[in-house]
Amino acid sequence: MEFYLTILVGLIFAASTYMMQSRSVIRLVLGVALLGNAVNLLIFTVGRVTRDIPPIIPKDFHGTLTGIANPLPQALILTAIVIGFALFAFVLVLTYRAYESLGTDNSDDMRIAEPEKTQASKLTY
Amino acid sequence: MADPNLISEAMRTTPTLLAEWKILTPMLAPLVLAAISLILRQKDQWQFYIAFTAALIAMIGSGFLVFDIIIDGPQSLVMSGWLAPYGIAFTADSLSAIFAFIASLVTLLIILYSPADVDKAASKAGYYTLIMMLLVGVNGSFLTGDIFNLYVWFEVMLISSFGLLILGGDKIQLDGAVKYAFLNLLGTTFFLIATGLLYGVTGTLNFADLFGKVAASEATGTLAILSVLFLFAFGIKAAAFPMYFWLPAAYHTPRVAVSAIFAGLLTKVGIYALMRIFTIVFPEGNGAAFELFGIIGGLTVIVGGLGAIAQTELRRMLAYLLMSGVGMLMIGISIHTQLSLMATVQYAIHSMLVMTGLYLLSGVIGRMAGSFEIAKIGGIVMQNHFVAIAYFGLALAVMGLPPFSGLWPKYMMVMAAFEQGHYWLITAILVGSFLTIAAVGRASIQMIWRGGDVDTPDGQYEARGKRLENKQLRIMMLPISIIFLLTLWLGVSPNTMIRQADLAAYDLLNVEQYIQATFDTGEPEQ
Repeated sequence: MEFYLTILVGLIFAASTYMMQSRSVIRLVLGVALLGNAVNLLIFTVGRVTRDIPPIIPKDFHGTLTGIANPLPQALILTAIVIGFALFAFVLVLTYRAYESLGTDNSDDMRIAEPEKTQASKLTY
Repeated sequence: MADPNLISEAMRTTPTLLAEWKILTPMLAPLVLAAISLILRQKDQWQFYIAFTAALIAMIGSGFLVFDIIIDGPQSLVMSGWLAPYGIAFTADSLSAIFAFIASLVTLLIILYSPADVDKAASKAGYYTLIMMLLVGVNGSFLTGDIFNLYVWFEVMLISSFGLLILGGDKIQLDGAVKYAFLNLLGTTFFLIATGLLYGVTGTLNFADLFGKVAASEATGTLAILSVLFLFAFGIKAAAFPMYFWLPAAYHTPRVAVSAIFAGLLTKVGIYALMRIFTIVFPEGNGAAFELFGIIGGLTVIVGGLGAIAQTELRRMLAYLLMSGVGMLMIGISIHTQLSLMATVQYAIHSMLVMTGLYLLSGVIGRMAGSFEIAKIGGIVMQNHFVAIAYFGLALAVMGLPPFSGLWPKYMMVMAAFEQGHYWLITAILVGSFLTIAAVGRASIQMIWRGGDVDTPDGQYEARGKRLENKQLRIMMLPISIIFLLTLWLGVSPNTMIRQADLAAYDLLNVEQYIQATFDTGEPEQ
């Protein structure tokens, strides 16, 4: 199971990297969202994927259970999903607002903060 | 009933003393007051006082923490009655405490400046709340003893900085924010990847526990890759050479107070994370990391200097100067001796104060001249001597010239590089300093001494721009004067800073105390 998940994680990473190469900001948003999910899946896989043994410690058992899926990475992912969701919502709105007020979703044309030619750029000193 | 011996291995049996909570004050006070300010967001006249109180409590709390650590060594508290490494630990050593102190101080000064820069609408939209949450994220990052928790604090910091960056929603702000948001998001995502894999390799997230487990691990190849991933993630945060593009794209777009707090705090958190992780998790650097640090640092110093010369906009020039400073810090981590880490800590403190001061001052100068274009600013010295003197002092400080605080860390850094025989790093530091002097000097002559904009002949003075009201000017100049006096004091009498930096560097290189403090939390007194 881990093996197939690892390949899937790799594929999603590749897809998100491809998306993030784009000049279109909306593809960039999708790429970042995919990347976030790839990471969550990666951490999920790192903590072993198994459903045979529940991670419950029997009564009077002292020691470490073997063969269970580690619940801690799943708790970590839960945190990461919540954070990732908030950030995704933010960049989605940001992209929309930027598109509305800048009139473009091509990152090459977004040059208001960094103009190509500055006026009066000649300092005589 | 479960076996009491077993419980005492994972949970504390002693009560948590009130005094143990003091380590959380720098983070808890702004968090609680930010929540209160959000409730009272309609009362915009109260917001300033709430934020001021929050930063003041955080500053006093971290100040006490600094003294406690000098006397008793690193302090630690593990949440919810667990013992390390099971619970989430907060551990503070001399480095965390002094950084938290300076960060709270910088925030306090920026809040003092804010009434001149923030209108009612922005205050109602949550400006002060976001400033407080930014401080929560920054102080949390400094004080946490758990690597996943560090990720969470990074995100707290990031989301508040997003809010501050777009507050007002001008075109230019949205443009800058798009670049800032995506690149920083990428950085934290890589941090998360590295953290997840590190847990996969070692089975722990606690810094103190990671120290032994990473050293004992046999997956050296994976760990080498992880160390480079961490370097990449924090390199983006710190705006080091090939990952810096978001910084000059964004830092000149928001209001001046926001630029100033970003310049003072955000990149330093990236540097702090690098210092922490590459002393306690990867003390050997694992792989080529330390050589990489040197190359990245050297290039950052030089590229920052070149960028500063090329800029014609005051705040963008400052952004490149800030970046050049980040390069210095990276060089310090790369050399990795007591002396170089001492210089790094000092330089970080110096850079936090001086860059904040310069950004705040750029607000005053921009208001006086009505523009941030260096070519259109002129005759500051004729308009107001006080502003000109403050600018001159902070400019000397950022160049690293005496009698201001930039001199000592730079001197020590060169000495440390010399001792270890890293001659090209010395070259990079000196070339970078020279470029900084050229950039700042040229801008100063134009802005301070020339009578007007670029075409004004020498010797003529044309009165232009707006005269600021005295009340406004007084509000704006108060924090700048405090920074000016602090940097002068740290330059003339550097003993206090050197002693504290020495302790911080010692704690970084000798992590036993840090580890002991984390594991001893809640143990019964012997």
